[in-house]
Amino acid sequence: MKDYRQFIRNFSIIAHIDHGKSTLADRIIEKTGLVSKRDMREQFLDNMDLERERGITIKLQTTRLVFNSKDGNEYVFNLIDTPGHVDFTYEVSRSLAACEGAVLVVDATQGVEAQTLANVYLAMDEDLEILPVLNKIDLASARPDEVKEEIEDVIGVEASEAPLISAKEGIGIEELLEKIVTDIPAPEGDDKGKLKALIFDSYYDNYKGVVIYTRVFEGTVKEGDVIRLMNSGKNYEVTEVGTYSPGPVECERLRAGEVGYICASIKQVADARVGDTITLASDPTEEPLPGYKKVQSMVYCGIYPAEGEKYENVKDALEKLQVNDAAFHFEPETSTALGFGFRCGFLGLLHMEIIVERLEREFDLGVITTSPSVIYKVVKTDGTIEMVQNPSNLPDPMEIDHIEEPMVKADIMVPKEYVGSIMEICQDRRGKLKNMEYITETRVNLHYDMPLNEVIYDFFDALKSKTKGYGSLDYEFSRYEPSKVVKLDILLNKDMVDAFSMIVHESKAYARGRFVCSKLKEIIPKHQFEVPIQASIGQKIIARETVRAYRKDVIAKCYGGDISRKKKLLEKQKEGKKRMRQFGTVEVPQEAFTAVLKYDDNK
Amino acid sequence: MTITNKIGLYLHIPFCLRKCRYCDFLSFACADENILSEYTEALIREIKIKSTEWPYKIADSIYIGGGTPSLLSEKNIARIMGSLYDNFNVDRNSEITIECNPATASEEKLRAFRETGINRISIGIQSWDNSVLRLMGRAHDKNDAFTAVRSAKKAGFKNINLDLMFGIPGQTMKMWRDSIRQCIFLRPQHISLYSLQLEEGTQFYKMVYEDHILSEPSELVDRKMYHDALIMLEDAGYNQYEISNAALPGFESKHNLKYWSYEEYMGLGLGASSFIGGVRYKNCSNMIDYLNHIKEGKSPVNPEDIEKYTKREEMGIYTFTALRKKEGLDLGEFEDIFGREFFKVYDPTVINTYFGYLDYEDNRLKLTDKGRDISNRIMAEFV
Repeated sequence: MKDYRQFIRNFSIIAHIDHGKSTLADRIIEKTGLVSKRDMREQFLDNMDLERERGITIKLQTTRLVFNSKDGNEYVFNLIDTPGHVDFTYEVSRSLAACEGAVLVVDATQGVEAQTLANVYLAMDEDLEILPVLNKIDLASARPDEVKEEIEDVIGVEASEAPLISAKEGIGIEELLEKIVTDIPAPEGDDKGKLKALIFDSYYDNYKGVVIYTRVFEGTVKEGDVIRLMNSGKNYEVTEVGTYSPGPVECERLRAGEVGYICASIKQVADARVGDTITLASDPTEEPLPGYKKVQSMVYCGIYPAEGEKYENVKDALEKLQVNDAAFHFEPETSTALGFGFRCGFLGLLHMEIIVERLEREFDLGVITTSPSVIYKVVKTDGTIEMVQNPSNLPDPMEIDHIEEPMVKADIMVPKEYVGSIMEICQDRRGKLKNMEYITETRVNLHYDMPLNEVIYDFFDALKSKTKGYGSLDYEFSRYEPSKVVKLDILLNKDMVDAFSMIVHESKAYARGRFVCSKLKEIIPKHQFEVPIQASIGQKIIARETVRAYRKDVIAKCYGGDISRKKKLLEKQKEGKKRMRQFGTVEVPQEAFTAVLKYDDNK
Repeated sequence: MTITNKIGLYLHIPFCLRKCRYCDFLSFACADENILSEYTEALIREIKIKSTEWPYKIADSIYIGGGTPSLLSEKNIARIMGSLYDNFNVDRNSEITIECNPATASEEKLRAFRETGINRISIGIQSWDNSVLRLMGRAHDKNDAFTAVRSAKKAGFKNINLDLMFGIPGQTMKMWRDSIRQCIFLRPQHISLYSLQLEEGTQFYKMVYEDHILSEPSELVDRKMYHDALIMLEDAGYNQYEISNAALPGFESKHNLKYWSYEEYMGLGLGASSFIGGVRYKNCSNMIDYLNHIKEGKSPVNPEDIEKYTKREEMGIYTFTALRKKEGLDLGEFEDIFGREFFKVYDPTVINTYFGYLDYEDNRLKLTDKGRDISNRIMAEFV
């Protein structure tokens, strides 16, 4: 009997957003006959509505496919999907660690992008075989030869034989599948050895508890085994093992080289963290798999129930989301302006936006989010250190010796004509150019040292806007560095609204203050009295706008006794008022909280 | 109200010589005699259908509004009036009003109207300035307006209303004050003042907000126009009894007040609204549907346009309509009608919130002069 491992191929598809990863995954699934074309939803792997809408993958999907090769053999393909955003780099790296190879999708019209590069490096770190393919070959603007050269120059991967495909049109898919068989190595590992399996994703199922996605490297796991998660040290009894094709299909066991799922009555996703190693409690392996790290929240913000929304409902929803998302956590906090709410930690701004959107859509909740903040290291005069992520918790200035802020290493890849404007926006955000390399004659990779604070605020939007969408960004935390940051407060009718407070760099405080004031002036409706909007640092007012008082709010004519129409109008007005938050005597529409965070091209 | 057997009748005539630039009312530019007669025919049939629904009600006010009712021929108006007398119990002291456009109001015609029993005429003057009239797209000029008022008097009308508008793009403070002065000089019994609303879908709206070729007077100017006019009218002996209406003593419009006093009215004709028997409903607004319904002898009301509001909603309606009146809302009457104390239903702190805008005195709640400027905002508190 031949070795079963010889007929397994474990691989990921890596690509920049929009380069067609999900469409390609769809075609592969279709070609291997797993799902008939008729039953296929567009972009099979992105199964959250949100993912489909944004065209990005947030939650991983893994699928087992069977491919009948021209060589007469039947192969098992385990296609391991990867999240497509800079916020989820660690998850990507763990998914890649479960593979032997990666299909690198490059858009034949656009060439290599920063994120492609970032993911290729991650794949290289895991010693994966990289199989480049050129997508969108059907488009007139495709330039396959140039892009092949680019791949060879930039990534250093042989690309002359890269399949030319169009995932959309289904061109070249067969050839690609054969190439996966020949080029991507079969897995190794001894199925008789001590169990060693990697958790590369997990999700919560109401009936089964946490479902772990795993790749077995050594040994075998089956129902009834007592497993140990090596980093958490906890033991669980396996209740079910299986594979996804694409729905869960129970199987007898998972052997070295195989990919599948394990259920073991685990209560929370946080108990089965991505990157952890599974072994047998009775016969543990000595060494866990490398690369485990506990994911740190980088960005924090307050989430508060909107007017008329119940605190308990928001709490329940956050708990449900947390069960499924180990990178997200929250704790209760209170704001004088917004009342009871939660301080929440996220991987990045996108992660934050996704959680907020899920609250609104999946749970139908109205929430208000406060300005996102990074974690500042506050060194006090007495030598103690405080980590502060809520501007309201910043100690009294008298007690502060200095404040340090997190810095990141940012790689920005842009077509060269945009270098000037990118340098401008980076400089504007206190970025220091470390070096700049020409990837090709037309494309440049800029390496910046930047405060995370500046990156999370509106940098990504600015980058996209200044480069007509061609620029791409990748960043990772590098260190804490002393910085002159100050707390900027916003006062409405002389009263401070803590939910608007933010920590900003001294050099940016005036511009930021002016921006927030003018934005609020646009949004806050007229009142019966003048409403001054002020930005202050400590006692010092640095910006001011005024919302003039109301003069006219009448509908004089009430036509032909149509009272219902008037009633509906008044109700609409009242409804609008309900969406306002009352701060002292001032009413603020809820959208004000998000509006002051948005990038504004004209500012 | 409260429980009475009196109702007001409103008849809608949805035709005009042409559509004014600010108009978003239910009216069509149409003067085709055949269509006008066909509509008149339908209206008469509707009068017959509806009059049987509430046989014991006595009509003590009739209002023929539009559009431009004076576009109808003397004969058609006479037929409508005849039909009303035949089918409803019309009180002999009824106030019977017809709206006129100066361009369609010859003395002869008005005399004919007067002979049908119509005893009040409302003339859409809007402005005494030709440039403003032209800009508004009105079908008349200043001279037509003078002639119309003179004709109405000659035709024997002793109760005349003049409609005026302010806050019109291009209208200056001086033009407005001249318009008021001109009105006062003509000494009508009643004057209405409407602050122009730019409604989406009108030409004015497009000219101001999309093409930016016109601009609205500022809110400040609009409010000054309003308050200045009220002072001038008061000095001339007119009493402002409602947000937009002033009259010489004893000439307050009965029909108009029904809307704000929680009294019953029945609407007849395209898109007309009714409040009767505790139910609010509206005739359909589509002309073809309307005519077909009537032809089949059916009531022209779509079921979705029948509103049976909850008691709480009706309390809101009672309150915001009453607040339009100078005398405001009588808390005692409120309790009589709804059986609930006003301040058990509504939060009394509203008086503090709107201090200086809302007056509470002698068991009455009313808007102050300042309060009228933000009446919507205050009224919205009660819906």
